[in-house]
Amino acid sequence: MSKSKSTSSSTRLSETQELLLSYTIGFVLSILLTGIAYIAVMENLLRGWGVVYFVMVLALLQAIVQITFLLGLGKETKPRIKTGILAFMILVVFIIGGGSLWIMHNLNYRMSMPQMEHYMEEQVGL
Amino acid sequence: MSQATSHPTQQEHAKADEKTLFGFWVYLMTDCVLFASLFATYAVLRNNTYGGPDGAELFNMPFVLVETIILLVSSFTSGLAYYWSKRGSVTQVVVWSVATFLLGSLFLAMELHEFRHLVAEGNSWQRSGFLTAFFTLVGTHGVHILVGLIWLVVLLRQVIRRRLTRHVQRRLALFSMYWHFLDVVWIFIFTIVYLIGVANV
Repeated sequence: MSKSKSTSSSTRLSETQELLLSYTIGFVLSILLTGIAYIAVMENLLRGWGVVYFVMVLALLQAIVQITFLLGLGKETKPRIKTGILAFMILVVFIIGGGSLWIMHNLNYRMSMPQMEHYMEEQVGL
Repeated sequence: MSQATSHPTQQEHAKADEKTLFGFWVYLMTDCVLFASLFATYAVLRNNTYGGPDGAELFNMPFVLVETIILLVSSFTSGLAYYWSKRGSVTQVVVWSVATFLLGSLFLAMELHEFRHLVAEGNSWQRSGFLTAFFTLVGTHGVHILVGLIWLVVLLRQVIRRRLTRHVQRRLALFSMYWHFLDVVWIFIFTIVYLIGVANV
């Protein structure tokens, strides 16, 4: 097992020093993003759905920050298989999650009173 | 390991470990799909309060924020434990692993306190669709945390008794991956369940 030593002559960080820096940056950014999202909601800084989109974007950003800095996905060398699997997971999530939400939303609409009345008129002629 | 060839080289060991780490990553991705389906369920049922209370009425936001920070710090300490395993210091690995365990336990204790309070007030998973979805999603994450804590105890024992062998180091890498991933999932729980739950929409 190789131990990494820092060389005083070069500006290049050793592998372990890079790791530590990566963790620290990831940690600090995560705390910041969490704090901003929390304050935005609790202090009512945005009206209506704006705050929802805002915190969702912050959550996605923090996920990217954590995957990059804590899980080290950015350091992967080609071929970037792990990144590919991540991308595939996101696709599956879109299909299953997004699809479920679409279906249920559509179902809610079709089962709503105005729509039911419409069916009654159309089909039974009431 | 075949008997016909000579003992595996350092390189072969490293490659085998890489494969294990990669396989674990694939598992984590499937776990994400699991959580995504629980999130979708929650999203569908979040307004099905059946006359009962909604998130805004139930959630103690400062409490949840503290939980979130605790888990974040524990993610950082687990990273430190891994960092020190690469530097070869058993003492430091133990210190930061214990820190991770304590913080993780504190998180779980806080979560259980929250659950117990909800149930005591009559707001259990049986109260409404919203609460069913809430307990399922947050509870599943909590179970993952519990499994992680048990794993960490076992791993800690190995670190102390066997020192930083190749296998122990690999397991530390796997654990820190698992623990980081749980924190990523929590970001979404914190945002989608708690933050959006109390936001005025």
